[in-house]
Amino acid sequence: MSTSRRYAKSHEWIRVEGNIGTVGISDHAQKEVTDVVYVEMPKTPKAVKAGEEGTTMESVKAAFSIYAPVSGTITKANTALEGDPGLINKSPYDQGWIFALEITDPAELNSLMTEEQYLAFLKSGEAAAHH
Amino acid sequence: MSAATDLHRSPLHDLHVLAGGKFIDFYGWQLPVQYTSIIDEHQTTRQAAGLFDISHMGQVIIEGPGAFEFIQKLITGDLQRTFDKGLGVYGHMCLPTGGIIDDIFVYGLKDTPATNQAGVRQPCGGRFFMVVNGATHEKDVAWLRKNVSSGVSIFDLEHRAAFAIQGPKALEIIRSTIAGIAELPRFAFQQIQGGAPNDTFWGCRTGYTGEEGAEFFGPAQTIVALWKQLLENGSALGLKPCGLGARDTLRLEVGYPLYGHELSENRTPLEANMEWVIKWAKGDFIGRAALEKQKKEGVKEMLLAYELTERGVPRQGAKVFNEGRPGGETVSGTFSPSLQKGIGLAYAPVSWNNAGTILEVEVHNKRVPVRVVKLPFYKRGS
Repeated sequence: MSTSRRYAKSHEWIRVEGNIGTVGISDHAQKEVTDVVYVEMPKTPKAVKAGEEGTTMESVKAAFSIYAPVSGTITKANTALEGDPGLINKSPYDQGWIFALEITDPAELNSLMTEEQYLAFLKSGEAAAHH
Repeated sequence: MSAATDLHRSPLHDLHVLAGGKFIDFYGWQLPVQYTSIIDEHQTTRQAAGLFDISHMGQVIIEGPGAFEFIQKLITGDLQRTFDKGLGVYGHMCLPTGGIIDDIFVYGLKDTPATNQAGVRQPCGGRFFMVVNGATHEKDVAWLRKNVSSGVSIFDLEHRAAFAIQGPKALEIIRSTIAGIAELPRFAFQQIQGGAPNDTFWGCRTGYTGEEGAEFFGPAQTIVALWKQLLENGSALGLKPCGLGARDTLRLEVGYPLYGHELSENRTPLEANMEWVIKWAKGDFIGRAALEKQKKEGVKEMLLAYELTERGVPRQGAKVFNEGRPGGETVSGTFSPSLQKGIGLAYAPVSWNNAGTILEVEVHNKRVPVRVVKLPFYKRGS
């Protein structure tokens, strides 16, 4: 099944509608980080460049950074995660979205992977180096 | 990273793969960190029962005339308790410096009468079963062999397996599967004869979660069969296999130490705030003189327990501050699924260790307030 999601090597996905990108972490990533227990709500608006930390989260296992897949301004955070951070594990592509940003340069989306490419990337073994 | 083929695998490994286990390298062993989720497995153990593979732990038999005195000299605990009360003895094996080589359990079986005809207790030989940590297994056996006295034999058992069954439903499940263990008091043990002549295994009313339950140690095939049987009998009561992730959150909630974190050769039982493991009345043992001296002079640093008063999860290595002054370091930290907050254990100046004191811990490059508390963080049934 094809999807409009694009993926970064650091395992975030972004789904674009108009100039707004919604960001979360992949199903593979949520399995790797294990149970998420806290998600830091980014202060909005927050300007970030592609690859910069958008916010952080804590799982039982460790702390993780969530990077912005493309440059933009974070305008919204998923406040549902404050009460139920486990949504990231239960519904990584839907209810577990983390933040939304206004995209500065849509051309940056071209450097991200399609779902097909991402799945191939996971199989390549290179993926483990990017957790 | 070492290749998976270099790692030891538990005899239960194939069952873990079938159960969807996710594996990690734990001190040279490939073991499941979780099957479904650390929090689910944690709650399963607190509310029903969990099965934990602990085959990485070393199993050593020590026997022969003088075995009793030999072990008594190596541990802080009093081995007499295993004969007097039929209980497993927990203790630390210390260096002459008082530093901790390992924390161990010893279970003893008498082969000779404990008292002579005049009713006087005699030093006896007997047969002892020692369970040591996986991470320190080789080092421990080398230490035993280095200190061994003549007439004492040490057998580092091979092709063994072990697991723990823990939780409020654990005893009921054990009772439905194997006789005699669930009825034992806590810390008691029994050697059980299996089907074949050399097939003896041990059932011990011990554990590492703060819940009721038992640990079973024995030949690989016997233990694998028992694991399967318990899972079959216990699944209706909620029994599930649980990984090392839940094992760690469970032990930390009840304040049990983990070797390599709270305990090391650079720390003594007094610094670990575990003076109770030192049975001063028992007589001499390796490390005693250093520990006596340290007790007299007072320890400078001691293990303290803290909980976060706001969101965040402390991790091993997180620095601890008191009114801006550095001086403490976290040795274990996690999110407590039962308390729904961050908890940690840290070595810090002994004067900081007062319940209620507010300190600061570095979490994610930010200092957050923590409150010093008394162990355990979590009590069964609370």
